Amino acid sequence: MKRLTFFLCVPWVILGLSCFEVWAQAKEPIRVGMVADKTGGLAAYGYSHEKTVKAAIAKINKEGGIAGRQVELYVEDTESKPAVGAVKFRKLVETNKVDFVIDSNSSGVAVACAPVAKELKTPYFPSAGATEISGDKGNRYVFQPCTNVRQEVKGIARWAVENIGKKWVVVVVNYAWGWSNQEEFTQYITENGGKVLEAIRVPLGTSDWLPYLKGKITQEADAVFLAAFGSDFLSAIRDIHAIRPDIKKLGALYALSAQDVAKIGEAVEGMYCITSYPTYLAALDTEANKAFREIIGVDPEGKETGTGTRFVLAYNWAMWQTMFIIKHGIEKSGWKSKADHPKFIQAVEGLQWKQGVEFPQGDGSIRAQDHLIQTGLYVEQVTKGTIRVAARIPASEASYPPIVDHTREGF
Amino acid sequence: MSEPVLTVVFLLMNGLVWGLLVALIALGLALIFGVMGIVNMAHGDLYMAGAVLAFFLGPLLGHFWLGLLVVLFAIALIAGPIERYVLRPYEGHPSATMIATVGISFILQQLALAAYGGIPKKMDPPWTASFSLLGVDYPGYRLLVAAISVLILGAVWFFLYRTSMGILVRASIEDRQMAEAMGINTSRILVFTFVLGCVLAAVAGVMAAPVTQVSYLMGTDVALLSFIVVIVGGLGSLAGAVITALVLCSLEGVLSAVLTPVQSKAAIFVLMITILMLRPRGIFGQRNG
Repeated sequence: MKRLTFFLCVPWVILGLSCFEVWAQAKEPIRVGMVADKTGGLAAYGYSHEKTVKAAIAKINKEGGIAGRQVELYVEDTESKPAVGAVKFRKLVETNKVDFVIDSNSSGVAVACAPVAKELKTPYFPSAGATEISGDKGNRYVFQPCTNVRQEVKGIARWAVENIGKKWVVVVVNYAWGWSNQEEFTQYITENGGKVLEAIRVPLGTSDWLPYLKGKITQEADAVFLAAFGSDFLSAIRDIHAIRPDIKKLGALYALSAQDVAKIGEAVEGMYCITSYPTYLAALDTEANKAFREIIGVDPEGKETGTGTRFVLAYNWAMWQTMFIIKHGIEKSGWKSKADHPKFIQAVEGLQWKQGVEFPQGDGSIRAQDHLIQTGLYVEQVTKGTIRVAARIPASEASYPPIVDHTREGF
Repeated sequence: MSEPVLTVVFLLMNGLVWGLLVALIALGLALIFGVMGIVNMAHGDLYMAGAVLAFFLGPLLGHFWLGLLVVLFAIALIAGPIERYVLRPYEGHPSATMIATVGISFILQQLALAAYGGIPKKMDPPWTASFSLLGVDYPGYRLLVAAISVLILGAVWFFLYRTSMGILVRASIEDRQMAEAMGINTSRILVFTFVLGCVLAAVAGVMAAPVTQVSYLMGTDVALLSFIVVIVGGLGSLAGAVITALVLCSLEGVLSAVLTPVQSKAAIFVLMITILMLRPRGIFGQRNG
């Protein structure tokens, strides 16, 4: 009798335990890790990205979470260094047990983290723009939810040759993102009938750019293409102006980000800059964009509410949208745990969206083959101490054939 | 003058301007090593502390130069107790003092990170005029910084070679035991030298703040360059530190006309290694014994 009771009870115990496990899993939060550049050269980006992601997660949790589960954020500082970023990525996954990892505006960090993402089988969404991230340095676990350098440069090359100049000097900061800009700009400007006379790579954090620019920006040059940001941008623009005050300037993506152009003055007046999200609300005056800016605390002029300082808007929209890409990916795939990552990845490959509060930058999609966002661009110009949109570049103009096809890779 | 010659002359001159600032920092480092035998790993962070304090004090006091004076006294007030209570107990133990200064460096960096934040910022120069110089619209502030650096270097030279206190400092560098035997209060000399060295770094930091980027890590690169300067110049040689700073910075500037920025930085390291292989005690270093 005892034996019969035992055998009758066993299936019920197993069923009970299984139900408990499913219940426990359903209640367990979804953990998102963030490798943010909180200190070092990209600290301004780290601050704004973290603030934006926290706002996105607060919104998601307030509206019931993802598939009924709350989202928890774990943030680690990359110090804007690739080696540190890769270690912190590993810590997030192995110690904090995060399910997804997002961010780092540094292409160097993103490239360093990409193989770790594959090794730890963890979907990764950096906010860095080097072409290699959705090219040969990417893999099935890495998505590029922001525009990359090839898209940006291809998108504006024809416009730049027709509207700014034919003969260019390229000045970039010496790391992955700068190299991408130099190589891609040279290729697409040449294809569109322009010519690059000189290319200069300057170390990050250089204060005095004069030694590297003097004698290189000749009278023959029509314009300078500058891939630098933050305080590097300020030093570069000051010294370019000192050498050739008359030369036209085009900044790589977000070069003007968070800069007070009125304060910089003459050196930046008339300068063009590529962007995938306009600084002023007026240039993308939609209800969705207005709501997005209000939630993250940015006024119509791009200043942070409360502090009144210029907010780094670079790729903030991409980090905001990433949280909703993850949400839609989970809901579409029925993701429950890390074991479901292959289903999640397949759901995000080819994901499309329409403009709304979740996707304030506009309509877009994730291209299945190379995991790269497909979306439009803008060219902004500094005019009388303010920034206006000089041109709008459709997604089709920026798009290029995928370099890789991750859908053929295994998991 | 032809364009290439103009470029080289300009780069030489521009390198000299930066070299004068580096000379101030390296001189402080050489003084501290010469008198105390301490390799001050926090020297770059004192330069950073000067810049960060200037960033706060300039707008607060409404006057950049007044800010410089306040920073000077603030650093002196910090450096004195550091020498007396942190470094003095480990006197005569180079490795212990080196580790202690690494600790000071870490503390200074973390204090700056907490107070100033991790974002590098630009500071407006107190003088915005510019001059046409060899084909470049050259910022007047940099020339002013160069002139002030020359004055400070001159004042330090005058102090060391024309005042009785300076003679005591030099005597302590030459032979501290003998100086003590002659009745010189070397304890006072130690505090004074450490404070002077730190203040030189901080003053360079204040003056560099509007030229460079103010960041809690800004001292790292400068510290490396200063160590190279002091080692190549000859450990403990004050004139060697100043001359080497000027030569190396000018040379790096000129090299950047023909090499890429990274190559010109690498070339300086190659030069340093070559000099040290040929002359291990540095160009102006004295043979011991």
